[in-house]
Amino acid sequence: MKRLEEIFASGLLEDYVLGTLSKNETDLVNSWINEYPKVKAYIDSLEASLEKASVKNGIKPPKSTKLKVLRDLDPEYQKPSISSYLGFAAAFLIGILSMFGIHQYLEHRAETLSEQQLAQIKADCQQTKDELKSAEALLFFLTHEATQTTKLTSNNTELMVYHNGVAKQAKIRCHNLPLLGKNETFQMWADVEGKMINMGVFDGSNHSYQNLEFIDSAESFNVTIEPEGGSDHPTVSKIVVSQKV
Amino acid sequence: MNQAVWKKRAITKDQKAMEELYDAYSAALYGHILRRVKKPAIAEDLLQDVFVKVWKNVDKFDPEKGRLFTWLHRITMNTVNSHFTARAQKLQLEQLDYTGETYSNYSSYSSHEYLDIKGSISNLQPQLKEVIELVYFTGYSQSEAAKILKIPLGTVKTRCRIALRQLRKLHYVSPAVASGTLLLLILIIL
Repeated sequence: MKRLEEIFASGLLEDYVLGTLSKNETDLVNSWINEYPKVKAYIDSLEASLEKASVKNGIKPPKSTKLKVLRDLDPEYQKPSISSYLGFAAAFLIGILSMFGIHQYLEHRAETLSEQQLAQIKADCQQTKDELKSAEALLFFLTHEATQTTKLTSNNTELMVYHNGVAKQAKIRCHNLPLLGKNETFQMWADVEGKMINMGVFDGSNHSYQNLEFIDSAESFNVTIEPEGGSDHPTVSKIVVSQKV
Repeated sequence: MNQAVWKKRAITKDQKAMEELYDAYSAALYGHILRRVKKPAIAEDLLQDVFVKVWKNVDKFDPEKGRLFTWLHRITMNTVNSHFTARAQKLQLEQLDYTGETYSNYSSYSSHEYLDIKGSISNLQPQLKEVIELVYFTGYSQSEAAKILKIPLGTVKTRCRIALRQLRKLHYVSPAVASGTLLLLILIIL
């Protein structure tokens, strides 16, 4: 026991921990460590205290240092393998090809869309143009000074005949004509000097302007119901409406 | 970290073992180096040297004779001292008036940012704290510390021993004290 007390009082154990002993002194302390477990435990507790203090007062090196240090120990540390390089390359290639494909598709789609759109717009324009032209022509015809208007009425039926001797054109506009039977049609007749002359057949749909043959010097206009395709002579029993000009 | 198990892994050059060691102790060792060399770039190089030496000499570490960190600390301080010795030799070869980096520069150390020691060390008396800072944290020899502090070598040695004993007391709770405290707590609860 006295021996242990002497060892602890010598100060050599603290010097051992600080690494300030000579070779002989170090060997001596090593022999005590092997011989006395208390010496070993004491030295361990001294070292543990210094370790705690060191860790507590540590200063973190820059993050890049770790890679440098570990690469120094093992040049292959965290280096991508050939397979991962190939994987990278494959992924890169696929990415590039996909992007190229998508780009081509979008470009093609954009071209197609613009062509379709252009064609549609052109068609719409043409249609509008045609409609405008027709409307202008109709307006011109209806308001033309040579156009004569004859209104044919009977009960709820109303039919307007626009007749222009200069343009040699005739148009009608129907409203509430009676329903036709199967295989029947309306037919317009012009009475010229007691003779009924065919002006053409029409379907009698409401509010639409329909062209008929122009007959000069018509004294009256007469509408009959005739078999589909029309007749050479009017069926008098089936007169719908009639009006003198 | 189980030191014996770690050693076995490190001997087989287990990369993960060295990574774990780096994560556990690099900051502590870098702190020691930086306090002495004061230049981060040099400190990083020296830290790299330390780990190379550890990797090459891991078979020399004996877990029976001491803690792993004590062994690492010694390698670190030897590396730092070798750096200054090499520098001194180079300066002498160049016939420059080398007075030693250590003693002439110590006055600036007291206000050095890296010497702000925290934790239990700061609870030591100032005379004890300064010798531990110089000898343990900065890696000067006791003779150098005596010259720096302008006190006898024997005084440095005595102060180092007292400082270590006091530090141990601050960290270490003996099994007898621990079991007595536990018993007291149980009695209070009952």
